[in-house]
Amino acid sequence: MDTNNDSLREQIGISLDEILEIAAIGAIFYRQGNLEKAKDIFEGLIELDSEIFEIQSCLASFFTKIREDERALLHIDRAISLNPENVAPYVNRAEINIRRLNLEGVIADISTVIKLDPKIRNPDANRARTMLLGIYDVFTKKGWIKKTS
Amino acid sequence: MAGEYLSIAFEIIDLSNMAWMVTQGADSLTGKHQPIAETVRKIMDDFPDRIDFIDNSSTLQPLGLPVRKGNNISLDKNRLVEIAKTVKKVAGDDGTKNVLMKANRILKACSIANTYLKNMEFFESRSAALDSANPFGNFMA
Repeated sequence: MDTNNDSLREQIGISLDEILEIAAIGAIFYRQGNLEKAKDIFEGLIELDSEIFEIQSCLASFFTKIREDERALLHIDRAISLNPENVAPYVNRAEINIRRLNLEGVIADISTVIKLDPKIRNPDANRARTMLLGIYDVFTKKGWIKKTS
Repeated sequence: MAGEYLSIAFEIIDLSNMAWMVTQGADSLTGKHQPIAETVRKIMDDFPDRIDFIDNSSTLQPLGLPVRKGNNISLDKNRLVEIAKTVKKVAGDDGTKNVLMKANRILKACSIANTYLKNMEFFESRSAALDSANPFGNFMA
């Protein structure tokens, strides 16, 4: 619906806070497992403004969860270009790369997550750490890395 | 399963070793230890059997939204009606199929959010009324 460089959100005067409030309702549905409603909310919001990191990231998470990896990756790339400092898209991409057995990709993304959260304070980053622990477990059980005490 | 997996993992690794492990993994993939990289790929063939711990944690999947306390939403449901009316007007004035389809998606999002806020408002008023009458009252009474 954009007729110029401004988003429709800006044209009709919706604040970023309002968009994030509506997205929070989508997040509630998402966490309740009501994915259709969550998706409908996120997809509506992206029509209002496709340049908001949080909405791109929400759709990235949704498509990662339902394993539509190609669509997820489009939103992940867009989210990272809008805000390279947030861990969420990297964690989702790591999950996709585990599914694809792309270890190089997994290591790169988890490394980024750990660099962005060096003090282990971000709960989102802990999912990436869980993946790392899982990989580590596979390695140690195969005997390729010695267990540490 | 996720909890069990984590507890096992925490027995064998301490968080301070993670940076080392990432370095080890990265080194093995940058050609410094090419034979290890080959082995790593073979090991990864085992990984699909272990992916369940990721699925089990998916309810915690990060969305990238700002952290907020509880489920409190301060948005007014009347504001959503206002937004929907404006979107309808803009789309109606334009009238092209593409714009109307986009408007439909926005209106659907507003409608779902509006219903959620209405339900929450009803629940909160009912809850407050029951609290004042009888703290043990059943919500469906």
